[in-house]
Amino acid sequence: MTAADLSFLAAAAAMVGGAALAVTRRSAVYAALSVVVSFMGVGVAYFLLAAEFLGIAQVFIYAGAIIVLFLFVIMLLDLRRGVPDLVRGNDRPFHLPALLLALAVFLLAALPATVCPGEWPPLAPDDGFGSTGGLGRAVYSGHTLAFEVVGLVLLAAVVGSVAVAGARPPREAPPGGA
Amino acid sequence: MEWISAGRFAELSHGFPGDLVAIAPEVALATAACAVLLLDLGLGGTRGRGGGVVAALAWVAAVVALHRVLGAVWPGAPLAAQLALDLGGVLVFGLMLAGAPNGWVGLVALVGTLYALELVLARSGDPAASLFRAMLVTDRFATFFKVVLLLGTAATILASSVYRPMEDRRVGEFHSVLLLATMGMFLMVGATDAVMVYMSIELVSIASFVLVAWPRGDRSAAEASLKYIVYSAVASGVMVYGLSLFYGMTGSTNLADLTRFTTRGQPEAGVVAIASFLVLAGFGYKMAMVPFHFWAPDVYQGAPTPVTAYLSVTSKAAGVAIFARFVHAFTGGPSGSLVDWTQVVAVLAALTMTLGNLAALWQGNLKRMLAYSSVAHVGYVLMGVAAWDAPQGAGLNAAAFYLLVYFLMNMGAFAVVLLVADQVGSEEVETYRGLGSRAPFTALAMSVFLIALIGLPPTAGFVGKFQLFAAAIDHVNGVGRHDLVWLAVVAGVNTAISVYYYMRVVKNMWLEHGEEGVREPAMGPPILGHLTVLMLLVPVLWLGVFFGRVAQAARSLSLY
Repeated sequence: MTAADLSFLAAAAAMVGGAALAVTRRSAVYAALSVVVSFMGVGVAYFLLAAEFLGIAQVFIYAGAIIVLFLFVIMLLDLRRGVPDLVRGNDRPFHLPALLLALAVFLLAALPATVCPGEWPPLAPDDGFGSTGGLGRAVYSGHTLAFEVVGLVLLAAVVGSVAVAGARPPREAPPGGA
Repeated sequence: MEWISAGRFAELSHGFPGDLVAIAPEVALATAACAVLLLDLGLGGTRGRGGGVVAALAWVAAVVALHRVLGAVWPGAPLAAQLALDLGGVLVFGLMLAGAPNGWVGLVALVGTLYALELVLARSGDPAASLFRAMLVTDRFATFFKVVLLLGTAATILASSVYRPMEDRRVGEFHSVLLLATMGMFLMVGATDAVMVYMSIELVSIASFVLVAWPRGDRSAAEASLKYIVYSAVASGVMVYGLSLFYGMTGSTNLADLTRFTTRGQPEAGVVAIASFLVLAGFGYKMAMVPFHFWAPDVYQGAPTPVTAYLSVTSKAAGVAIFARFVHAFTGGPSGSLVDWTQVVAVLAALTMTLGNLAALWQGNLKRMLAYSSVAHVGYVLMGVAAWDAPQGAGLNAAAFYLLVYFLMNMGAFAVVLLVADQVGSEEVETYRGLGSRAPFTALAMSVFLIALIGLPPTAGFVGKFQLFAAAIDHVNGVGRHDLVWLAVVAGVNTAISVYYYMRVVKNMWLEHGEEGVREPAMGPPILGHLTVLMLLVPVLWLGVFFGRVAQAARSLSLY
């Protein structure tokens, strides 16, 4: 087992463990901090794949900026005690089947790695794949249109979140539809 | 400073300027979305002079756009038809302006939609082309779906202009997000690259969450939106995993390159097959196909009615289009694909229609019932997709035509739900008791829409369903066997089941009486709402008899 393998295992453990903690902690602050651990693991994985730019962006933007914003929101909303169960669905009986189904999908998804272990093409071809330059070329030449669509996605998200969550008007007539 | 030559520019820009012209409808939609937002920001919330001028301009522009759409559909239309359409436009758009202080905002969005429609129709004869380094294609298949999407958007704008809870100051943002969602669907129906597939689906999803959560302070809408977000996150996560497997296996994000790897005997075919099932999750969730349909009932019930109508029609059509394109890419060359996609899609279709119909039987809320009915209808449409390899694309053509018909009848049914809820304040099936005597026109229209949804003549629903059945029965597999007859039988049984729950509403409207003592108001003056219903009702009946021209247009929808 090489050093790279060991690093990958450590990063994978951080990713899975952090994600598991994030969804099981009742306190929103702990959950957000667990996500940082998971994101750091993803960052390490990027570095192991020789994608330094993505790795640094992952740590700076996701583990750094976005989680800080999350923590600000949590503090402003005062959610230290966790979110109370306001809406209790009638779907309790479906929880176990849903979990099993998710597990089945996960195993199915993990299958390819075992089905043909030897036939995967090399992950990092010679043409600077994953490097900052290679990423730049991919985004700004071949996939320019997709990159521009990202702008529209962000526009829709910003306009939508301002409109849905923005300041409430004084008092509105109750909705007509039930 | 170094100047680059024209040839070098063309090389560097990968033919972008020309490709931008080819996606003019998409650009028009994005521009309209921004224009609505900015105009509303500058002039919204007041009846001020600026608003009046813009309203008048939008009125004129909308009539002109409508006129030009007619010119694109029917070159050399007689003067009488042109004048009738113009007068109809003046009337309907005028009613939109008169209905609400911010009616002009919706009208501006409608201008953008009609203009995009004209651009799509004007370019419909162009040869199929691959754009932006094979990110997108424009072909007749995509064009047909784009027309359906734009008609659905226009009908949604009309319906939301009579939807009272929508009349607040955020109307500009609403229409802006609506147009962005439509643009995302445009990209979906033409996407041929995994990155484009994902980005377009995300654009549609994020815009849809926003639209569903629109009514302020409405807990059911907020809950619906949250469920939609969680479901969508899981579905797109699974889909992205599948796409990454494709990429890892093939080293390319292009759909056309994947075809080479699906052939039986290829060492990669097994992995690619698993990956394609994972990708299916993303498309299945957009179409509300079983087993990815769980979000549909809650979201359709909780969302504001125009948004429900919009999602049930357009989001579904775009999902079917991208799914069909994907299945088409898996032909797998001469020796055939490892997975028999015809039978896979057929089994999914059978499951979807059966589950949707059985669940619809128990619903008391009409919106929830229509949600399950829409799940069932995806099953019928998938019958056409299962027969995708039929000669002359008969299966896909039938699916496309059925989605057009489904837009008319389902949008009509939701428009009636909206009108009745506006008057009575309830969406329960029970409230429809005695509607026939209180509001004969609304009840008659609803009856026609429901009969069309069953698929009975003389409505368009019959013609559409007939083509789907014909496509399934005629389908012949590689060894000359009619291998989809069983699916047609399942669909027939399902149609019989669906008669019960649709007819229950019809019976409530005509044969039952409203409860004594409760005097609901008569269905009064929302003229625009009734006009919207009428505009959907006429084509449902017209296409039931004179379907030739439209069915002809839906034929030979070749994929690039």
